[in-house]
Amino acid sequence: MSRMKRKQFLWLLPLVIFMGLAVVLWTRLGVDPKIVPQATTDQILPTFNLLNLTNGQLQTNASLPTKPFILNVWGSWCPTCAIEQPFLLKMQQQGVVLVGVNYKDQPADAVAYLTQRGNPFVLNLQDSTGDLGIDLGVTGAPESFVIDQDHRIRMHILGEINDEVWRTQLKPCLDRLIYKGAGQCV
Amino acid sequence: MRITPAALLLAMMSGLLSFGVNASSPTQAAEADLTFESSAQETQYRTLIDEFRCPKCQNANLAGSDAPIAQDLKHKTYELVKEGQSNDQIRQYMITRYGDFISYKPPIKSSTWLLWFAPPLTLFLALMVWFLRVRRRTITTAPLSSEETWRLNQLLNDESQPSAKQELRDDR
Repeated sequence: MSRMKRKQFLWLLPLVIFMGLAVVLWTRLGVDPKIVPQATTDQILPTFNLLNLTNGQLQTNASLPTKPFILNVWGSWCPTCAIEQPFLLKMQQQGVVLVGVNYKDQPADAVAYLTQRGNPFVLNLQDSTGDLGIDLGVTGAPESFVIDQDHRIRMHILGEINDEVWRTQLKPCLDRLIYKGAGQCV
Repeated sequence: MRITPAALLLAMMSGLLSFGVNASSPTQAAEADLTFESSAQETQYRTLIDEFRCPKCQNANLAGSDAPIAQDLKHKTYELVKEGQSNDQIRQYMITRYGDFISYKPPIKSSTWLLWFAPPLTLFLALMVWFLRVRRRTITTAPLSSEETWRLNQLLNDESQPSAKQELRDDR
């Protein structure tokens, strides 16, 4: 009798499995599925030969600072870059070294943007084709990298830099690199 | 037609799968007039932009994405194909910059064994279970004894007697 009863409900099993799957998949829709590409993290900075945005001179990896710094990929066309710009200026005032990668931009627009809003960068590389961007593994702008004194990438941040990102990610990484020598941040 | 649990499950799974495939199938974006030296190069280019995933969009391939980075990576793929690089070289180029994430065809390595081998293994196990059950069922169907054969014949021959049929039904 009980076996008969069990057989009767067996056909419901696929339905139950299906509903379970549906619930799992449905609830996953609420979770941010963003995956941050980290392939270039802990790799040496790619080599480049790019013009300096402000003075037109050719720059190579040798032109980069020899202490830990932040590499910021930006463009005058990028709305989120304009949002984080005041924070970059604040970081610069606090002594953080910032190098800009002017990504897929018109040089004239970029220079006008910096003149108007202030320039937080010690050096700005003019990556008009976006090739350095691809070598860095960027997916758009703004994106930022923490680079150590040996020019190795130690952190890759996608999107806006703000007080929270600074407090929870960038500052701990920079402190580690500056006060403890080189080392991994992630 | 009888609907068995297995058939129902199969239908649902295939429904889910085809939905998944549709969601990631390429919708060829309009491309600026690209020129290729040979149709083989064009095929190589199409294959690769179908296989590579747009790093910005999470679930679209390069072919189906209009995101700026997807355009750039398509152009980069085009350049590398024109340079005469092999599929593996171009794949390696992308993976060193964007990781395994960039490819919809993940490499076989220890961290992806589960991904690659779980489905065939599950299928194999299911077939084993099915096979064993079918075999067991066949074995339990023992041949009729002489007494049972005699009774069966009697029931079959004596069709005019409704009570006999009734008895057969009850015995089932």
